Amino acid sequence: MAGNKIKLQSNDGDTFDVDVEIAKQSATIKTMLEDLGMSEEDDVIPLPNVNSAILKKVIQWATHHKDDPPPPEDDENREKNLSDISSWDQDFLKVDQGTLFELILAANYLDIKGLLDVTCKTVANMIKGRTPEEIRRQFNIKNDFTPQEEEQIKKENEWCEEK
Amino acid sequence: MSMETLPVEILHRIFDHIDTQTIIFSIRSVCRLFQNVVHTYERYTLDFQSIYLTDFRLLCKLITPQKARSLILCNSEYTPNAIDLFVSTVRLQRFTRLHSLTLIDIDEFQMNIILKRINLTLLKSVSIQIRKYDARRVKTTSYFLSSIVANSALRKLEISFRFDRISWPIHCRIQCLTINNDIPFDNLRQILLCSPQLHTLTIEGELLNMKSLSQKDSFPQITSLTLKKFELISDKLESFLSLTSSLTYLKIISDGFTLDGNRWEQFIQINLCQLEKFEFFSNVSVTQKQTHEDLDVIIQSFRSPFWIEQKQWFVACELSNAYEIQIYSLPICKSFVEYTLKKEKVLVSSNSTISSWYDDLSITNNIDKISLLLNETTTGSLKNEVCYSNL
Repeated sequence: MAGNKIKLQSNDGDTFDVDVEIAKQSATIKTMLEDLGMSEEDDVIPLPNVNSAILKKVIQWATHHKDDPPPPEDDENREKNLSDISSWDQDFLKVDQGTLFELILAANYLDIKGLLDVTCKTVANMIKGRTPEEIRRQFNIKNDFTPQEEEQIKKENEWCEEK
Repeated sequence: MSMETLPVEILHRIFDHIDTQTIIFSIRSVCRLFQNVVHTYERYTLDFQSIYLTDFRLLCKLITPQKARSLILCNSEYTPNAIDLFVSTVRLQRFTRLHSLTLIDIDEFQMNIILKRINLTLLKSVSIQIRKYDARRVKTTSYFLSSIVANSALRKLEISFRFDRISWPIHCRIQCLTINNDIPFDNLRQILLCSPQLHTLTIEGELLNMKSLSQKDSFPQITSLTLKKFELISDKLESFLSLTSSLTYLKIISDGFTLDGNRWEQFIQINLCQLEKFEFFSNVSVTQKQTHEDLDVIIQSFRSPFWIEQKQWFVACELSNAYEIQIYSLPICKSFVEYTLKKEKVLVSSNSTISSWYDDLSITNNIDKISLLLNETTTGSLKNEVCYSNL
């Protein structure tokens, strides 16, 4: 069935024609097509959790990675290697934080492991080695601890030095 | 859309790519939400390879062992007794959910204490480098390693130990095996026959008693093979490689490589039709004094259409001294090399654009450690020559 297309519809009504093989990188879509017996030509697959701009990015990513070998099943032995993001992916993910988080949610919903991994690694890179204050600034997060709670955490973190 | 609106399971997934110190010391202190999300995280990697004593104690205090998925312990030059300290500080029995265990430079008796106390049944990946063996403990060690191998969860094993003392289960589900010592061929055969899913094999040592090799032997499950410190007698190597006809990746880092590209070409075409990537690095001693012209002759045999066009495998060789040739595939496949600074360094490559390491820095991309061999006449050129960003 090489070369067949399917239609994917975003939650704001836009429809995208996508090669079946590219779309099947999404385990969610693959399951819909294979297990639920949806036909490839006639039906439009609605994706209620993904908007048009994000779906376009997801399709762009899946098209670039269409010939990649399937990602390893083993989730638990992920190596904490942050330098293995390809330069294409690094450029692709030079987006604002909102888009990056929406891509993560879309990759999670569509179950595209490669995209989920690379987006999570990108966020991890923004956090690794940073102080709490730097992380708050990076992601615009408010410090909502009371002074007492903050003191408590500080004490826990200094526990050994005091010994 | 902000970081705080991501679901907990996504935040945990992001944590999977962050070191434990950052999670515990930084993320936990950002805000209440993150404190709670850290509290429910249960996939910590406890990497105690190079860690300050204060951090070590603090992590032992703040992370309950049940939440650790991966544990890395190491006796290093700087922390020679780190494993003893760990064993005396932590209740090992509480490591009930470990999926990965790495023990580096451990003494055999320490290893046995750890393996006796932690839960081995969930281990998917085990890597153990023993620095000090103890003949009195062979039986106990054999028992524990046999238990690890017998687990149906195990996928990856790296160990230096007498494999004939480990009883291998009949249907082992291991996928990656690294043998860090010599192994008799009979022993390896038995392991491979019992491991139909084993696709990645690394042998860092000699294959002993190859005479017992039979033409009936065949190990088509192996697709990736790395040989280090292997005795590269052509016939012996070819006999072994002819058993692994499904190889797509082959890496050889051993002295005595066959310098004849035509012989390799023929052998690969007949026996390793599916080979996609072939990497090697070898020093070869020769009996006659070598010149630039001799290197040209060697490299010429690696310039056939098979090497250059079909496979696009490029090769370089240089003279270590007049009686030793260094031959390697490009880019260089080793992470550590010894490098001699010479006024006239002769390098011949099958890629006509490369006549030194500086012509294309991508050929040294895999090198992260160089040992520079200096003398008085060459130290002056250091400033000009060292320009590797990945060191």
